Amino acid sequence: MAATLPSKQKHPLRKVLDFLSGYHLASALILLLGVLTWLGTLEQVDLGLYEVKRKYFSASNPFLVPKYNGYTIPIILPNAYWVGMLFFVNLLLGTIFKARWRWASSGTLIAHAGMLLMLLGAFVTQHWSTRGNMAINEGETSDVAQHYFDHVIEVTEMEGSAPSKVHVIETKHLKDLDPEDTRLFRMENLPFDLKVEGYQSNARPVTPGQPRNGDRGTLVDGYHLEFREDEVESERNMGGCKVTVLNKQGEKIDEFLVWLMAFHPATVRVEDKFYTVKVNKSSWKMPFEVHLTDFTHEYHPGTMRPKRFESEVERIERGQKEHVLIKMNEPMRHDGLTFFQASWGPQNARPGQDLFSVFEVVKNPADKWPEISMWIVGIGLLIQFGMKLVMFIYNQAKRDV
Amino acid sequence: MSEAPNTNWRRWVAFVLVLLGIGLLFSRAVKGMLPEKSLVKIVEYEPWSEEVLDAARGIPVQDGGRVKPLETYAGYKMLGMRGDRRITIKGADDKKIRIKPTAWIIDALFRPELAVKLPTFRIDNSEVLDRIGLKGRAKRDRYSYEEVNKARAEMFKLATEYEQLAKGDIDLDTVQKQTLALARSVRDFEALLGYFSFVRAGVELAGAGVEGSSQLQRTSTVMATAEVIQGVLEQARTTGQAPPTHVQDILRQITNLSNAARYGLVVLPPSDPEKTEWVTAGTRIWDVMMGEGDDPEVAVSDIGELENLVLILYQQPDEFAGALETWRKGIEERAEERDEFSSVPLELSYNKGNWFFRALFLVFLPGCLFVVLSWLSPKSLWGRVMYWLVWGFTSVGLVMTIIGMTQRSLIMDRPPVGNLYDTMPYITAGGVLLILIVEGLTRRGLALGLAPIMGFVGLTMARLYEFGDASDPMDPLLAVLRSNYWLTTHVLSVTAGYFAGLVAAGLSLVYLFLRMFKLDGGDTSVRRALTRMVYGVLCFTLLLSLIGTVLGGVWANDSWGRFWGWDPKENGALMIVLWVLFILHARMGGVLREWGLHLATIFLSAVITFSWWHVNLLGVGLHSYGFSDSKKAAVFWFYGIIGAVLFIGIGMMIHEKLEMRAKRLAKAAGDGVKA
Repeated sequence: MAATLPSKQKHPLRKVLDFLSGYHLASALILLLGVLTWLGTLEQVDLGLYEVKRKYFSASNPFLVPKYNGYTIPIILPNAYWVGMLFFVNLLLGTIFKARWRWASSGTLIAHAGMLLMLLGAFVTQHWSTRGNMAINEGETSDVAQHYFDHVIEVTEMEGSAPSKVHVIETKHLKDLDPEDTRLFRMENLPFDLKVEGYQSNARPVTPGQPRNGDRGTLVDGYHLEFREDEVESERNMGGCKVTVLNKQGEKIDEFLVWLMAFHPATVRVEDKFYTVKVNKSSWKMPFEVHLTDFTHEYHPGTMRPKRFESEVERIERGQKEHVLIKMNEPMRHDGLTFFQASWGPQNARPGQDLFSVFEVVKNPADKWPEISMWIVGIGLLIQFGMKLVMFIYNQAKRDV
Repeated sequence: MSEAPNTNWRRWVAFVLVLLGIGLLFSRAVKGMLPEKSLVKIVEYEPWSEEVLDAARGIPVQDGGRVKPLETYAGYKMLGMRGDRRITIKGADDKKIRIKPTAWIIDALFRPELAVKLPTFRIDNSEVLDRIGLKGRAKRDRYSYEEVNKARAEMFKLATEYEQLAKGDIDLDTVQKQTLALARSVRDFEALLGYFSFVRAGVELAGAGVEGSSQLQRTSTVMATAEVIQGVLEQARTTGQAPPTHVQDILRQITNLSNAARYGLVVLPPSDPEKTEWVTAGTRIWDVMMGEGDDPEVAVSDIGELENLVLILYQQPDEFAGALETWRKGIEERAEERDEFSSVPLELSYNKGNWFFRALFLVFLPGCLFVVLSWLSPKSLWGRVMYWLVWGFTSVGLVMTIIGMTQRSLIMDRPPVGNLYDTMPYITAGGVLLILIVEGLTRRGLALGLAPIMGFVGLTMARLYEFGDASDPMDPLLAVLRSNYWLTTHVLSVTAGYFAGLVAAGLSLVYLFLRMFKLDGGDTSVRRALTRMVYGVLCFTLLLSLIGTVLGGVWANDSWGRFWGWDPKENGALMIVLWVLFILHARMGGVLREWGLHLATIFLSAVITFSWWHVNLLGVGLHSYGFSDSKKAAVFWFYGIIGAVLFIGIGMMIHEKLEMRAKRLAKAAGDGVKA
């Protein structure tokens, strides 16, 4: 007699489905997300927000080892990004296969749908949102924002003393370089190539005699680039590297250090034409111009507590001007972009001195999803718990009678 | 029946334990209020009349970005220096005199010769005195300005050093911090003592009197000649010559007098309606002499009125109350014209009501005692009387707390929660209300006992926080928080999540307590009822926390362009949501049963503490307030207590499970024998 499966034994796929949609997995994932959030919060003290986000929530690191107060905690944990993904799957499958599809559970089902939208929104934001900042002086106009963290190398062709065309080596080609790595960039539309060496996201130019605060790169023109740990506030990192200019035959024309905060870019002359080379924060072109008409700020009287700061701007698009007031809690939303009042300066300005205003610029396709999902979840929970409360009161009254 | 004596002794142990807990908290709450062991005797001290105090209380003062009554200003100044809002001394005939903030500050302003004798400075560590070269009376005591002034030079020298160290990011030790704090208090007190120097000293005009003698002039009179003096200075500048000696002498005196009155009371509203900053008498004098500031005629008149006020006190003391009242009304009218006065009378009424203090000591504290007393015989008439007394007292306490919160809200013209202090009365009131609702719905007498305890603990925390911080918690909001819509929706709901979670944890503690001391008499329906209550309150916690957290994200998205910034406060709120979700899902999945649910809910109180307090002391993110060591210690103490409770609870759970297993095995063995 051929062996047959007992009729009650589940199909392996069904077992997998049960596991993936089960309460046990949900509880474990929720617990894990809680622990990761807790550890990530504590680690911010040492590592800073940007690095913690990279360590705990980036898709590229599947596992992590937490640290607290400089000490390694000897456990390996999965990254919150992947835990969140699995949680999404669990929630989706649980809602479809485990939840009871009846009126009495309608609140839970609605709340779960809202949660799914919220997680989806987080996913879209993580992968498709862009952020930067735009600083404008009063009376000036700009249509370019800068990314907070991304450094690029810009090669600018000069026509006389004016820049004519900019060629950019993008962040993604620099990010993976270690200080000891070298990478050759073939510049297609230029009569030379660039060899980038010793790139570091945070560095300082130092003379050989200065006290040592880290490893140093090659000495060029009397300066080393000294490599520093990334700043806790990563937007303060100052990237730099050694650049060697090579002709198309690979022969060296010139070499110099470039650094984010250098006063002047490096200049190189090739075939009787001048080019400048510098490290810059990655630029982001806006589809419209913003003119800062006026910036005003106010402190609570007799204190240094900011009460109000706001910018009067003109949004200029295809020759049309529109007056907009941007202030805290009231950003300008237009064309998929949002401009937030972020800061201003100079902080020690004298009365009457021209000020500049800094806007945080964000493009996020899922901008309003969390709000929508919150309403869905809220309504769902209200229905669910409201029904339970009503039943409880009803039963209590019946018992009293 | 055989359990009765057992339960009785356990009941007594529980009784004593809770009394001890309440006593411990009570002692912390009144610690700052205890008077000195030996009272200072100031024979010449005459208390101010009620008329003077009434006239002074409501003087509008601009401080910390808002206009408030002098009484409030004085209260926090006194609290900062002395750690208390009253001083008791012995006057003539050893009569006890109690000096409250308004009396204390008008002493400092108008009778500095007496104010310097008052024990104004609390020094918690006598090492501070050793370091500045004085001898302390005890480890912790209060000292007068007269005493501290003996080491003034050394104290300020050290304070300057410590300030430099702190600027260089060097952590100061406790004694250094306390020395620095003492120096700042002394400097603030000196600003009050010297405020009316410009009246008491006047300006001496050399050679202006009879036969070349000196003549003393009022400062306001000299101010009226400011233009002439400026002309002389300008002429000297043009000709390249030094100004005449008598003009230099006048300027030197004016500089000293205006400096002495520059940092005390900011009590004079500007004449220019566009200007928002009020000024001190010193700034008024200086601005006129330098040809800056507002309308000089008004400034001269302001200073003249203050001079008259002080001179009336010295020359016709009986007229002082009336003169002070008239002067205050003048300032009030100007403040009213600027639309800056409306909150002052309300704040006086709030101060007079002293709602939180009264609710704490007169209502919630007796309420706690009634709870404990009700355990002596819960099912008798005595127990029922106690039950209704707890209901009554707790309801009154709740109403008083709500009145206090409402008044604060009206004074600040914003929703009731805008800073960390505000969260405490709000969480107290919300928690008490929720417990009363749960009790009203269940009527088992199980939840009610928590209500006065929550009221007592919550308001004690608020009091300790206020005393520890010694700064006005009705501070105006930062630009980003100035949105009544978001403060109402996000802050109130997320904080409501805290109180709901704490109530759930409290109910689980009741469950543990009942089981630990077998106070439920083995009645499983009591346990089931508590489990149902906890489950219901957890659902409520989830609803409020989740909506509050997401609303916070939506607000952040409107303010900074990101829904979630992983700010520690946001993460703390998320952790509450995740932990409650975990409890509910683990319960549904059978991972947590009755014991597990209650232990996990008790742990929720630690998660809430992390979110409510701990994240603020991490020093990162947008909600970092720079906490004192004592607050950090309190947070870790709480974790320790919750850890110990959980340890006991887990031990009991394991013990019970082993017992049940043994019973099952014994039963199975018995069945086997029978078979």
